[in-house]
Amino acid sequence: MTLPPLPRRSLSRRLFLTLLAGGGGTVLCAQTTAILVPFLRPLPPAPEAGRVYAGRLTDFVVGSVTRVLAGRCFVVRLDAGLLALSQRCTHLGCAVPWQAAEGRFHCPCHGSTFNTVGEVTGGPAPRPLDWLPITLDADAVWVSPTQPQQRAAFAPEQVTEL
Amino acid sequence: MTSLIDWLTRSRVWRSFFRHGWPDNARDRALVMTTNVFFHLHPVKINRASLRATYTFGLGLVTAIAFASLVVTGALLMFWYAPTVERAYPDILSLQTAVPYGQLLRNLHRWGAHLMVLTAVLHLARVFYTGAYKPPREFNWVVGVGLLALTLAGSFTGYLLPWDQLAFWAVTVGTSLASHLPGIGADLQAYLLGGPEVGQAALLRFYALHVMVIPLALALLTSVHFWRVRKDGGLAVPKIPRDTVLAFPVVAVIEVMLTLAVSLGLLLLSLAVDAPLEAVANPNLTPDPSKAPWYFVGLQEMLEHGHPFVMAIAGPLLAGLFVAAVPYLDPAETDAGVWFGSRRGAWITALSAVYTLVGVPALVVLSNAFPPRELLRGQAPEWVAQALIPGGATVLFTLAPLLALGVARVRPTRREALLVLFTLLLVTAAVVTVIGFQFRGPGFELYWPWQMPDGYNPWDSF
Repeated sequence: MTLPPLPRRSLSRRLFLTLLAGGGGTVLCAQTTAILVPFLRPLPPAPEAGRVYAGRLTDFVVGSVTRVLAGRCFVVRLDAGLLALSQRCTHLGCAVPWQAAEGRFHCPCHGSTFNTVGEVTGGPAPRPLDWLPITLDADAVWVSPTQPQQRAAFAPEQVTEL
Repeated sequence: MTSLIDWLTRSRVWRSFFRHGWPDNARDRALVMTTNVFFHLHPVKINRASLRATYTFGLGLVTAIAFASLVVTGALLMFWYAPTVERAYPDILSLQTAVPYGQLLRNLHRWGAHLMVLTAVLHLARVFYTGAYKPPREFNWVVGVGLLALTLAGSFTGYLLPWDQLAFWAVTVGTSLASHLPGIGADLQAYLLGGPEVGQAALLRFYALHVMVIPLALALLTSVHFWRVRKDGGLAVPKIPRDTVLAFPVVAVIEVMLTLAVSLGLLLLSLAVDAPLEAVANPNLTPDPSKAPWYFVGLQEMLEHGHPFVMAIAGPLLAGLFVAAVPYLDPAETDAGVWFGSRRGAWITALSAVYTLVGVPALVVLSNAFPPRELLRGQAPEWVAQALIPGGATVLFTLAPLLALGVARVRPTRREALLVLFTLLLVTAAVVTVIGFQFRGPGFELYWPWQMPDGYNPWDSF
């Protein structure tokens, strides 16, 4: 038995409405996503709020490692100049303290160690500590903790020469 | 008595409430299930085998009850808590010291959360080992895996809210994992935290997720989960013998009794043990050791042995995909509803468990004594020591039992092969959780639990 052929119509009312609902739903989902992604994006930090006073130039003796609590970083005085290192462990973000007795940074979370210029000497950390830009204002030293710079190795241009 | 009930059930008030008579006969007991919104998730008749305590252990039900209790205690806690960096910690302090029963409510919420994670995992294991994921229940298994993921997300987002040292650093460590995803990692972490690090934006985001987004998603998905159980003919049980009873009042009694038991257990625990609260969060001072919440401490343990991407992202992601795909890897409809499928299945499971119980601690000790990362530092590229060696060892360890079955000329069925792999995964997760929780001390070094230095006791921050 063969069924009688359906009336040929290029676009029935039902098909038109189905396509309209499906297409409209797709557009709604797409536009929701398009709104949500920028809506949930974190706001950038205010550039000026990010500058933290670290101390006077004369405070930093060659070979010293000074903690800047407000900047969550350390300022290292090398022979060539100043190097600011973020205290965030590059492994999982713990605050890495400077251990003067050991002469290195030693993370309490998973035991990563870093030398005075922030290079990994042990433990699971995948890359050196991030460095932070330093600005000199006469003899006042400022660091910018909101602009951590990732790096694969220590290089002289990360040091603010004096 | 009978005339009183007759009078009651014929009254207009009763009939406006209930669309069934007094349920002392089969007809009205069936009508209870079909005309009551809360009961209609149950079938009218239920297979006697699915009521056996040693078949389900009531684990799914206990998980749902724990969730319900969390909704109630969580809503109450919201009356005394503001998600701001300035107020969160003092609010918890005053909740514990000034608000009558505040400490008790907080304890109930915390122990309820632990219970829900625990029973959700055990329920997953029960459904797997009884083959209850088999057709037509494949997709409901996937829904269940989604529910487990949401449960963990709910628990993790709640972990930050007390804003103490425990919360701050567990979430710092946990979200830093995301930053190791190649390409999008840093962005993903920033979206989660609302900024580059854990701060006010992160607290607010976690709060919104914890009290609104995740509970809503859980409630929705739980409804789907229950509804599909009902539509698939109740719990998976062997087809024969078919032996059914009217579900009302049997299931109602079981459910009320379990609710009472869970409430009593949580109440006694909450009276006996207080939820931990450490010093207020300090972004400049990481406590030593800093551990993730117990259900993620296994991941933290894995991190000790390789690159974060391999051990804590790629590995768990593959494991999660494998678990979600279980019903599609074993589509045979036979032996659903039978623990381990057969005696041989039970033996294979037991052997896999023993293999993992011995093998994983051995691997951990080996990797701790001869860490490839330190031995090869500067001599081989980092990806060899951090990815190739630990990743390769994990793959070999996983596939070895299947190879052994092949050598022994045991031709495992698909279900038996899955029993091996799933048992391996489950026991590994349990073992690394126990090692990370109980055997790691200051500096995340290995110690015997009875030789922990500095008076460190992991249970203080449970």
